[in-house]
Amino acid sequence: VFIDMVIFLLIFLVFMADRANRVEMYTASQANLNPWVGFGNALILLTSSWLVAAGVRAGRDRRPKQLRQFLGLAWLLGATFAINKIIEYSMKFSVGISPATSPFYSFYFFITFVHFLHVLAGLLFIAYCHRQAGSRGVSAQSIVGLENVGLFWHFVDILWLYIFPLLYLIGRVA
Amino acid sequence: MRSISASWGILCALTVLSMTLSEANWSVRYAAIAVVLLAALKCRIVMLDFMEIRRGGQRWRNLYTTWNLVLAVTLVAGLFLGGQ
Repeated sequence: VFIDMVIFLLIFLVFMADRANRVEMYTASQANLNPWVGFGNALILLTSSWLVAAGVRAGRDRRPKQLRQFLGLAWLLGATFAINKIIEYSMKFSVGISPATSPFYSFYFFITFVHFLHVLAGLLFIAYCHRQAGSRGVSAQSIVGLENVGLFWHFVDILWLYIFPLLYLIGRVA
Repeated sequence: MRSISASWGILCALTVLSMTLSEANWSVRYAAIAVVLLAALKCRIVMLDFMEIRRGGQRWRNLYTTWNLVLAVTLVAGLFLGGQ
C-alpha cells in the first residue's frame, strides 16, 4: 500500500502538471466521459469497502458465517465495478477513443487501468479470505490476513475517491 | 466514534454532493476546489473509520494523513496553475 501511495501521488502530480498546460484540451476530452458511470462506480466501491470493514469486525467477533456473507457481497460489488469498467472501455473503443486520442485519454486509460488491476487483485484476495473462512473458520492468524486485505481494498476505494472527481467531474465544472 | 454504517451513509451523501456541485452553475474555481476537498474529506473518513488508522501506530497515522493532505494540496495547486 505504501508503494502504491507514492506511485499514485506521482501519477496525480504529473497529470495535474500536464493538465495545467492545456486545460482547454483536457476539458474538451473530459466532456466525452459519462460522469454517472464514475458516480455509480464510486457508490459501488464505497459500499464494497463498507462490507469489507463489516466483515473484518465479524471476523474479530468470531462470526465466520457473517464474515462470509459480508465478503461475498463485497466481492460481488467489486466484480460489478470491474464489469462496468470493461463496458466503459469497450464503449470508448467503439467510438474510436483510445489512449492515443489525446494526452487526457492517455492518462485516463493508464490511471483507470492500473486501478482496474488493483481491483482484480483485491477480488482475488477477498475470494481467498472468503474461502478460508468457509474451510478453516476464523483464527487469530486469518484475522491478521483479513485486516491486511481490508486495508488494501479500502486503499483501492480511496484511489477511486480521487480518480472520480479528477477524471469525471473537474472537467465538467470547468 | 461513528459506526461504520453511519460513515458509509456520510460517504454516499458526500459523493452525491460532489455530483451536485459539478452540475451547479457557480464559480468554476470554487466548484472544482470544493469537489477536490470533498474527495479529501471522504478519504479521511475511509482512513479513520474503515482502515481504523486510529488503532495503528502514530507513524502510520501520520503517513496516511500526510499523504491525503499532500495529494489534496497538489490537486488544488494544479487547478490554480491551470488558471481555474
